[in-house]
Amino acid sequence: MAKLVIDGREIEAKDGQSVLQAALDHGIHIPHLCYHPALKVVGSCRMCLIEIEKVPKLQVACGTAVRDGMVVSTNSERVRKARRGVLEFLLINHPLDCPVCDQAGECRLQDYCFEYGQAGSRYQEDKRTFPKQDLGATLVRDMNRCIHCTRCIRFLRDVAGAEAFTLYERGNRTQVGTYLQAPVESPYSLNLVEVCPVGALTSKHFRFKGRSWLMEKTRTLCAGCSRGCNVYAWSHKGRVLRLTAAENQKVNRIWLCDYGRLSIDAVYADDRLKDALRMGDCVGLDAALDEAAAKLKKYKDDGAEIGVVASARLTNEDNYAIRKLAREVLGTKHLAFAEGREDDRPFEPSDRPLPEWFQREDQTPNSWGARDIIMSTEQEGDVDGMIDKARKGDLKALLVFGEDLTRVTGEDKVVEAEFLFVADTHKTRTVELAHIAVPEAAFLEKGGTYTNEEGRVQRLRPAVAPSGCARSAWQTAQELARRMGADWQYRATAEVTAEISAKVPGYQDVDYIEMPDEGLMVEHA
Amino acid sequence: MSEADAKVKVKPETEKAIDDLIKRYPVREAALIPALHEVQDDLGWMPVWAMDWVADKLGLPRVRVYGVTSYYTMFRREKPGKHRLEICTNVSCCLMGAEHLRDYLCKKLGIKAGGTTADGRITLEEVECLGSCGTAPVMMVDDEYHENLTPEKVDTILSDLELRDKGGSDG
Amino acid sequence: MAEKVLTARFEKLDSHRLESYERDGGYKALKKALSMKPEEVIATVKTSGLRGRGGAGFPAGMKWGFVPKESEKPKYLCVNADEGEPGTFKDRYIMVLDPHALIEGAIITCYAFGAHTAYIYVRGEFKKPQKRLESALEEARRAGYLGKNILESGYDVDIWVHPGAGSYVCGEETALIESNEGKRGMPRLKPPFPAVVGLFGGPTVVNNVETLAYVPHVINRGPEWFASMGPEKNGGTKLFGVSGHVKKPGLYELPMGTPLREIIYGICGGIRGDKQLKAVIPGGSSTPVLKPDQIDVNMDFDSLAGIGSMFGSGGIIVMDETTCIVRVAARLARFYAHESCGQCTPCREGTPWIAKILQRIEEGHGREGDIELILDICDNIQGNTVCPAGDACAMPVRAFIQQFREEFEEHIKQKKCPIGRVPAPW
Repeated sequence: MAKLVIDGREIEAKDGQSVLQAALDHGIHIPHLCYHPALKVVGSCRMCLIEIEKVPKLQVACGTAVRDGMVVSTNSERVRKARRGVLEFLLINHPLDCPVCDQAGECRLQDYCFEYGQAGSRYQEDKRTFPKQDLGATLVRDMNRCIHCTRCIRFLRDVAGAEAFTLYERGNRTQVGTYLQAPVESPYSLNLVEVCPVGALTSKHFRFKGRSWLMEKTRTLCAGCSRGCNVYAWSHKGRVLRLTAAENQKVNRIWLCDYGRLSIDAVYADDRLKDALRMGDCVGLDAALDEAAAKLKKYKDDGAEIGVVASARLTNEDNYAIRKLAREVLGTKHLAFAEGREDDRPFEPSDRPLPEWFQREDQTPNSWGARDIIMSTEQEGDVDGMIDKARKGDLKALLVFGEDLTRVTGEDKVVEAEFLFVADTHKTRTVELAHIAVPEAAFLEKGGTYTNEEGRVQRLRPAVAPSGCARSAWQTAQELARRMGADWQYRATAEVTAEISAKVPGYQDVDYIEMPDEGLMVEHA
Repeated sequence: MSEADAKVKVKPETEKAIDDLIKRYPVREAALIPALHEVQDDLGWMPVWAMDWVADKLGLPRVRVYGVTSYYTMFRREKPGKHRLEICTNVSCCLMGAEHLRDYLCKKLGIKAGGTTADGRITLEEVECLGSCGTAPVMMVDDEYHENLTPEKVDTILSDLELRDKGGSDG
Repeated sequence: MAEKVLTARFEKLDSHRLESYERDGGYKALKKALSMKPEEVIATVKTSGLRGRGGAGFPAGMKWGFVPKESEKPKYLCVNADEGEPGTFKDRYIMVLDPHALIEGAIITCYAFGAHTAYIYVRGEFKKPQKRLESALEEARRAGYLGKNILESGYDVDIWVHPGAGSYVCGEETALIESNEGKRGMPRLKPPFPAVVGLFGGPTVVNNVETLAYVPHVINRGPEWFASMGPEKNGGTKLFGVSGHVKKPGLYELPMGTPLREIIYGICGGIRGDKQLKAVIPGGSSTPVLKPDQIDVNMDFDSLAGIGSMFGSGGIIVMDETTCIVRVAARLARFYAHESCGQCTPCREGTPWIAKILQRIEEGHGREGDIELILDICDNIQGNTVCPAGDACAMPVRAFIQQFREEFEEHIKQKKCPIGRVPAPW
């Protein structure tokens, strides 16, 4: 523990920390560009120069270890002049692209210039220019904007485990790029857009789509795999335009994979199910639910067997409501869900390169939650068995929530039942075979909780309103239940969660409203 | 790449020299710059395929070798003329007339500094201090230092090169 | 006439061969050093006050003393033979004419701080010195001065030549180490210092060729002898390389502390054509320029620091009245911009900016405010960079302007260069 004084304020730093780290830990923002908490220190941007008593030259805060008794000034006239100097130097070749640059509004360089820089540049010579680089499927580099902080090189090499970028040439002719304009082929390439402090690296997917200050930011979860990465969904006029990483040191640190980032596209795909369907024709949602409920009531009264398929793609609240519908309203034990794939790689976030631990084999967000909820009640059978039974006629009705059964059977034929009811987000093959199909809200359109592979419950928040008349499965279940005479009164997701914490073993501490950002570990089934 | 160039390969002696160089270091990567020199001395310049060959030989990513090669001015990534004249125009040499000599050469060869004669024989480059300031002006001719230059000496150098070229091999 | 130490053998026939070196008493110092304890060798060099001859003037013995005694990783000696500082041309002569002097000095140094491998980092353009060194090293190996159990001492050491490839910045010790490791020659942040974490992660000493060449003499003749050859704390002789407008440019070995006037007008015969002296760069292009009224200064580290300049590498560049200072400044700025490694913002962006403004002024397109702007850019570079290369541009440019401001102002006012190019000497 070292005690040092920064700008007159005494702080305690951890051993081995740099002055910059210690300062940031205590809310003192020393401006910096090349420093990144997850990357090796290079000390080359010179933005974080500070004055240390008894040391003649200014030192970089990122490269200076704390020492007991150090007295630091981050705001002396000398420091401020050096900062202005560095900013002026950066701007002599940096193009004035702000009006057309994606980074505007969330650009460190912009912010620092506003706060520490001077109003005009004294540079009156020619700017050096570089050609733009097409870096493959996901990225574009505007090399003119590059400030040579080398974060992108360090990220790809040390975190993403792909030595794809290098510095080449030297001096102010230095460029950063791939070898022979090869594309970047890393499943983590889009992290570079966040790693780059300026708009030199931009996402092809997001380029020119939105201005950061016009978008709304919602903290929610990615539904791409069982890691449950925390994301910010950025939306404008009711449409999510991009996902960025939200920090959760216990789950995804500050990273996302490209697959997860681009999963927005599926939410806005053409084959999104927006209306209720009856034998393939659009009908009003109420009419569809009325008919479905009536049929189910008849089956139940006749003593016919009904099967219910829940899903690892749905939230805990969805699955809980489906279980309640199955057990209490339909009175059936035929309740199951299709498992995700096992992954024998370690789960914990580590310093190992991302490909060794990050993206999980199980590409559903809530296998564990589904298991905890569905398997903790009396249930019979599995999805395969139910499909067989339905085909044979032993199950007269089959309700499928949030699952495309081709994932289970792998056959195009999928399933046959006397009455097939499906609630899903897209017009899958199963939806095509349904007698009644109702639209399901996508992960960006709903609230709820997922339980990740580790047993961590985390909260989803809706970023935008659902497409068409889509709604969460728990709401659909409630509609069916009510029409069948059950007096369900859930007015909000939180109320379903409250019942989960009351009824599902291991989930007693889960509170929807008070959910910490880090999530909450539950005891696994 | 021209057809003639496509057939060029790194000589076995060069590869053997690189094998010996590798033994001098605890890690293969440290032999990179000497190895690049060996290959450049062999081929006369550093085409992309040669850079890649060195990368593969040392077990280094090609992209990394490219980053290193492009940092250093001595590695010629464009094929030069048969003969290279590299004249220093830094301070001491300029004080002793190097700029006059450079202009003299440009006029005589009919090219600008950085260019190659139309017949592909001579490339003239301006370079930075060669570390021989006491005998300025100084020029490297195919890596050999020529010092205390005057226009007459330059004329001699050029005619020697011509004789050498006409003779077929260097004596 | 002062004693010649390093250059004593330069004129001899085959001075570079081992038999010539041994005939003149070569490798006696090594035998003596091997009979001493390593700490004693370090203490001897410390007492002599031998300061680095590469430009920084850091006491060699003290540098060796920073290396930890015990080390998990192997220790290394890197000999700095990059000689890229404009105006400097001394190490080349040592390597070509007396390579064994360097080799013997290097072996003793390795023994002193516990290194078993040394690399002589020779700039890429020095092909002849590289070849000479390779031959001399082979001779030394055959004679048992290098290899395992040298001279039956139980100590193993070997030395290899490692070429550079055209980068002035690789003369900086951490950039040299990076280049020696096969990477782009970009300097490292200090701390950690090379004595603790250097080549391949092990404790490393980087010393200039000339510095090491003195070591055998210090061992043979004692530290007091060496210290006595120059002023206090500036002992020994120095290889001064004089270039530019003197009658007799060349390499001269003189005692430290020799007055600059003596060197220019005495040793070098004065200005060519008996013209007027206009300016002198005392120690390589990175050192602040001096005016004629300053040449009575003694050529040693402390005296030059005392008048606001630097001793540097001993590369003295003499300029007469036909020289346009603005041109010189512009050419140097262009050099530093070309050589900048590009790592840190002030040097990468600032030095080309200075070069561009100076070029404009030189060509007659200077504007009002340009001079103050250049001075401010120099202020923003100096002290704020990863390595001294930024200072190496800022300090001389500032000195040129401070010492010869009227000349810069004339260029701007007259919208042309009033002096023009230096006339050809032929």
